[in-house]
Amino acid sequence: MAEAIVTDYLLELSEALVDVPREVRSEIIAGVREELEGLDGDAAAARIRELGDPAFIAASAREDAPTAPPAPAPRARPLDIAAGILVMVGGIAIPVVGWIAGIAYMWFSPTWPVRQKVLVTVLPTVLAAVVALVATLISWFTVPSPVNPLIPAVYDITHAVVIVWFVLAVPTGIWLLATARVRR
Amino acid sequence: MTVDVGTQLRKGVVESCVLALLEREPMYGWQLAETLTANGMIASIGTLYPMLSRLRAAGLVTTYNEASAAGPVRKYYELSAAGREQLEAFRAQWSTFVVTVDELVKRDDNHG
Repeated sequence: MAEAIVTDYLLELSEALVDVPREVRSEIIAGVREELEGLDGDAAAARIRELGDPAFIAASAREDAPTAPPAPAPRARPLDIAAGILVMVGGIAIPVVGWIAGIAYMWFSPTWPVRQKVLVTVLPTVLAAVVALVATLISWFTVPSPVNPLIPAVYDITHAVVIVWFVLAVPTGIWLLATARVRR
Repeated sequence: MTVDVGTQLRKGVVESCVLALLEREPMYGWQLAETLTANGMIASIGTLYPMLSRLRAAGLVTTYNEASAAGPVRKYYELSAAGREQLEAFRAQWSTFVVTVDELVKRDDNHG
């Protein structure tokens, strides 16, 4: 009999505490369980009376602990999806501008951590810049010869930069899309 | 709406009271709850446990488990060194605080 009333009380308490932060909730329930464990029927009933109405306990816990709002459904916001797609392929649709628009959207969104935003912005840019620099240096320090196909010309450099940029823009865009759902 | 004065007052000092109780001896949740409710410091255990979580998160109390004679394993709360310091800081300020507030709020018999 003691077990039944204790279980009932704990269940009631657990339900009443549903919107209290999880840590506080489990702390309260563990404390009450510890207290009621091993008591016989009458003693358990008396202790439960002393503990009071679960709704009242929950009300004071709520007042004291910042209430956790019900977790929002893990759905990506439309703007985040747009940002991810723009970062991924926006630069192909509207060269450069499309990618920059995606990056701008991304920075305005609270969805991703700053570290990720920095990586997504900097990685393609820095790598493209490095490739541009290396290619330029090669063309500078090689003896100019009008018909040497091994020396990169300006349009080759541009090509290389664009390719490197997109090779990185696409996966970073995918990365944004993949993490748009989970980060809340 | 008048805010319950008692509630407001208790909020400011109840944590220090818990630290003071734990200074005497480590106590488990129910022991604290009984003492504090008996003294009108908390309304229910619903107030106690969030407070204990906060104190623990702040490093002012630590916990350990111990089996009681009656059976259940109990979680005891114990004052940490930081908690002791905090309690001393509270003690140092409390008595002057009480005097100051007393001075400020006492009825002025000459004027009123």
